[in-house]
Amino acid sequence: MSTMALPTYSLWSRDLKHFLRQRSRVVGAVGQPFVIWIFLAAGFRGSFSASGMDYGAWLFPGIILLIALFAAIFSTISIIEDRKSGFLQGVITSPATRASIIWSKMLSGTTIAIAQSLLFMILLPFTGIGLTAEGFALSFLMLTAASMMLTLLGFILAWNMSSTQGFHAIMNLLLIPMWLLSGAFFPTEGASGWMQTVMMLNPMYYITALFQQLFFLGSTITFPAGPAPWISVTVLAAVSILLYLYSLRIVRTS
Amino acid sequence: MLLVQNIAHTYAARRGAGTRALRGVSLTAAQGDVTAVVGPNGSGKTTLFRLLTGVLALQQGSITMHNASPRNARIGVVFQSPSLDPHLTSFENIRHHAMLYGLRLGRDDISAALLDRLGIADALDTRVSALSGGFQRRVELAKALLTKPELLVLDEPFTGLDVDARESFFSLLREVTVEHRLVTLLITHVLPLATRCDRVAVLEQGTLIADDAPARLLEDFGPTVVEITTPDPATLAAHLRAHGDRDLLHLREQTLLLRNTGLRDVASILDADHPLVQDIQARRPTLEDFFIARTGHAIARAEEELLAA
Repeated sequence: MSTMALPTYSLWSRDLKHFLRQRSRVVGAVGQPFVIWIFLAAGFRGSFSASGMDYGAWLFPGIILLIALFAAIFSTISIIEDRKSGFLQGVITSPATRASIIWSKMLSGTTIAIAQSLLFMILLPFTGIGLTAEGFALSFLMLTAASMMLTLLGFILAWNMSSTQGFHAIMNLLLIPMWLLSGAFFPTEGASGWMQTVMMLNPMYYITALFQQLFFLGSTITFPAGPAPWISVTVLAAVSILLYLYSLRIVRTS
Repeated sequence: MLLVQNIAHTYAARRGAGTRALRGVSLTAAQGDVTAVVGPNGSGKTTLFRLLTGVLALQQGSITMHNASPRNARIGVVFQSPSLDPHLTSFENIRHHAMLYGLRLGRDDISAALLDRLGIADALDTRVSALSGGFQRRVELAKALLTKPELLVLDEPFTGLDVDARESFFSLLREVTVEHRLVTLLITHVLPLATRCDRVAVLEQGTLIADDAPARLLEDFGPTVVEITTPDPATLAAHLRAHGDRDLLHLREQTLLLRNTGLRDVASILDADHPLVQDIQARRPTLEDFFIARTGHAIARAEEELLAA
């Protein structure tokens, strides 16, 4: 216990202190989703048509998933910085289990994602979405699980990277397209056939579909039927377990 | 007592046989002693450090601390590069580090005497990024000591410190080693400080070539040696040998070293204005002299460091 729980708490709380003490990071993390949502919602308002919804409302849950993605990216990028600064060597030579490094990153990425998402919810009244308590609870439960999965993905990418520039390149090549092709940015049913196939190979597609359905649960807005919820949950669980096992392998063998 | 017995390590290569970094190294380090590990780059010091701290798994041999696996002992580690978080204060760094060792530390748990001894009592609430290199080293040492280690391993802790800071840190290290009955292993290139340790282990190409008290290692050199700088070492060596059976060592390209002798003895053979003598000085023998005598070459980086200092 003392080699897992306390070290995990130590590294998690340190990550949060780091986040809060870097003023530019806080401003960027809070401001970025606001700016992206406002510009996209205003820009596509006249040209978007799906389920009879306003684009701003339609995009809203997708932006929350984007927040989770960015939180995962920025909480795991610190692994590269910690290795460079020498901090990570102190962790590795301590009795703390290597799993505590993974768990602390998962928890810090998720904590930051949830906090930012709650802050972003300030904009909810401007969307016309009537969020129910049930929808809020279930969608944020889903967001927690999705954040953990995304942080694991970021962890694996960052663990083997030697530069933050390289991580940014991979982020632009892999993580952002994962979000763009998740159905968060444009509806799947309007995409061309090959694009729909690509989207269905993307685990984020299943997470986004379920998250959107849960987010609007009980409201007057109904989303077009996506994959069955049990398929989305299975994909999320399976991908998370695989990523966790692979993370354990790389931290134990490197 | 730390007991390292017949350890070897080979780094695997994608092709070929890999690189043998350590070859059957055995050494001991006693409680209350500072044991220095010296050697040139590539001698296996870093590999030894990684094996001791558990970063690398043992491939051959054994490491025991008080007759048990070092994993059962508390190990304090001070790295060559700082392992402090610059965004946190000194106290936060210490507290977070202690938690990695399963310890919850409050301010009251940190001995005021230790903080005074380390000289960081007033720097506890200062962010590490605002501290000098010397202070950061002290915080590193505090971090390592507050987990109550039995074994303290330091990898090139003097890197980036000026001469005064090195001296001060070394004195501190000796004091805490004795006071806390630590087994301290100091991996370093700074040979003048290694000479002042209780014991010195000398590594060369993955092999331990000596492991003894510094005085014992240097006893073959006598109390003083004479170093002569000359443009023509071969001719001067022949000249000296013509005047008796001289204990000569070719120290560097243009430097000869005479062991077991003094300035007065050499002056009886060489005039001060001898054309082959550019400089002549008597001094105490050093570990560098020992290393050259054993291997035929210098610990190059140490030379650079000493010159820079």
